[in-house]
Amino acid sequence: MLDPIIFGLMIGAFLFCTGILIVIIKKNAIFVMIGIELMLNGANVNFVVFSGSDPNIQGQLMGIFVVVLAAAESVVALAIMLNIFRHFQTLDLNSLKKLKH
Amino acid sequence: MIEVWMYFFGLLILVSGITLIFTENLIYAAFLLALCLLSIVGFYIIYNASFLAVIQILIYAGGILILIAFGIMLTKRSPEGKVIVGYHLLFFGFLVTLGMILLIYALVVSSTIGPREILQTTGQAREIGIRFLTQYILAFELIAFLLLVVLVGASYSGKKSQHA
Repeated sequence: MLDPIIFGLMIGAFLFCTGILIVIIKKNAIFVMIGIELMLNGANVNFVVFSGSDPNIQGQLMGIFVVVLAAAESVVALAIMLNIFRHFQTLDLNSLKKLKH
Repeated sequence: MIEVWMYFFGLLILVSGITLIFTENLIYAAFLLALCLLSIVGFYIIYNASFLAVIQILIYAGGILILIAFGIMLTKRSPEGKVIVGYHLLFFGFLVTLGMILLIYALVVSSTIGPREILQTTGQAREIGIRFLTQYILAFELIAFLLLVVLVGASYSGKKSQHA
């Protein structure tokens, strides 16, 4: 039987490693965004796990900030992706090489 | 009993994460991300972070997943008429991930985290509200300002540009 703190830290590490793997190996830009969300959630799980034994719940407050920042980041990233798709007609990361047309 | 739920949600996170690596279907990926995020919500409730769990359901499952689904639908077609999925940099990616796993493992082994009690407190929303308006007021206002900037910036850069 694992200690709950260690188990939570392992889950957070798993989410972070999965996210970093997806960010590196996927070709589609939307997959990269999904990977970034997974990495942010891994960090958030760590915050929450340590906040569970803290009467001041500071980890939970940081977790709320992280969630809000993730929402802002994904909104801007999707707007940029739509512009890129309108311009290049693709989201393949290997074909986005020109900075100006 | 709580261990059973912990292992259940952990298994769900594990399965959905690993499937997310190997899937090539973007719609499946969005739903697997939803499954993963909802299992993380279960984890938050187990670790006594119920307010953050509600926030996670509202913002992630309600907002970000809808955004990702919109992004998938609006950007699906390449000129040849097929979706571009696939892998590149496989060796490099697995190398970096392996290094990260070893680094985290070394950190956890060398740390002095002992077994701790998970507290079961209530009235967290009140506590969080008081802290947001006293101790974290600067960060709270900065976040509000950032959201305004993001709103304006996204609506500006999302519209059709005039000369492109």
